[in-house]
Amino acid sequence: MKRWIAFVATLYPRSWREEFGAEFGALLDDVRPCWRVFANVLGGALKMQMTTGTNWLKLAAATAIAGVIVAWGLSFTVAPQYVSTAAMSITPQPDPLRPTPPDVLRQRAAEKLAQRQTEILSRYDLSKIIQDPHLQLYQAERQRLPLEDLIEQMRRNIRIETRPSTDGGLAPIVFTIAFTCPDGARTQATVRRITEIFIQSSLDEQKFRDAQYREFWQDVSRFEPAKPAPPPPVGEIVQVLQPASPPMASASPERVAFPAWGLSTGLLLGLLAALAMRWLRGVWQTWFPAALAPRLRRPHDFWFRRTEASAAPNFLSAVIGVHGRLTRLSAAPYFISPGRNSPPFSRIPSTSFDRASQFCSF
Amino acid sequence: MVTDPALLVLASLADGDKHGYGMMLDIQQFTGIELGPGTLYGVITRLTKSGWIRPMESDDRRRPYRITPSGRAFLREQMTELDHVVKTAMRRLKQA
Repeated sequence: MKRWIAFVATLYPRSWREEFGAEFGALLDDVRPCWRVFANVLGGALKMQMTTGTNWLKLAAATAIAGVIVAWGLSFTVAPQYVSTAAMSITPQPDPLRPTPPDVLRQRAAEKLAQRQTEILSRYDLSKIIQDPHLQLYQAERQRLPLEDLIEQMRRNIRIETRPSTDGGLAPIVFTIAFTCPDGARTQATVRRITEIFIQSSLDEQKFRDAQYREFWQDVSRFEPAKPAPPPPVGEIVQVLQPASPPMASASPERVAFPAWGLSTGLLLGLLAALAMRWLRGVWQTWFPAALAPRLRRPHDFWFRRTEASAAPNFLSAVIGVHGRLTRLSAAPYFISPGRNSPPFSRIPSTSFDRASQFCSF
Repeated sequence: MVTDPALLVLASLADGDKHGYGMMLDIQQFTGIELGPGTLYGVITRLTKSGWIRPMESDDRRRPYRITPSGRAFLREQMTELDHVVKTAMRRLKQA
């Protein structure tokens, strides 16, 4: 943390660091390093960048850097995600009863795969996986989120992708199943479960086809007992090429995505802030020139003080006498009170205004 | 409670010269407010530029600051105004 604080201290303007850097470093050595100090120093650096020079480019760069740092820090608060992947294949088989071109069989197998994928990602199958007592998925989330939300979350975390292949005909279609979850062991178990569902549904379909086939040939054998039954159709063969891999920490896209997000947000905010400051300055100069009246310390004091009888002469002298000379002060968010018995503004030496304007620049 | 950091720093230095960390501790002691280093040095920069405090010579990295007569006058004036507000409020509270 100390190193981080020292780093954000370097974000102060160079001219400021030349003047105050050494003693500021000594102060940072004395204070107990924590996130609060880090945020305070970062905020101080940004403020100093804004107030010394008010360069929009500098401001945008400073907020962008701040955005990167904050977002990068936030990325560490996100729980690591584990990924387990399995590879499977679905191989089209020739139909002994109805000779079919291999490409059609392949197309049929691809459609079967898409159908299985839809089934796996259906509400029914996913709710069964989520509620499986052996898997115990989303234990904490189940306490506070409805099942529908968890199904949606799980749907987002499962990725079934077909590997591109130039093979055609009866070559196997290879596809991968990946699941992402913060719990490594459960990730692997879930992928294993999904592959089982794939295999099981394929077997069920095969059983159903066999039963239909047997029924049909029993009927046929009643009328033509001498006719031999052809071999039963096989349909598609589903195989596990690579079982669910041990859970691996995900490639951590957050570590890259978060700072990128922080950079763009910081940059945008910096530019918006620069624009807002320019706009505010314009509004201030247009509407509050009289706010230079003596004894005004805050902009909102203006409306309060102007009602005071004692302030009226000073207020008028400020407006009539020195308005043109002091408009640069009117942009300042803070105003200095020269004092109850101070002379009218027109008689205040210019050095006092210079001094005041330095103070007011914050 | 006065929460303007500039006034707190001036009030702290009214008691004698102090460096940054000394001011932080002093302010925390008499107000309970913990000024962060960024806030403190923002104020010190402003007050130095406005001539209300000035850095003292020091061999150490920890440079002490001293309140100037104009800074003292400003603080006095602010405290007088604040005192006026406090007295008025207390009087009205008693009347109510």
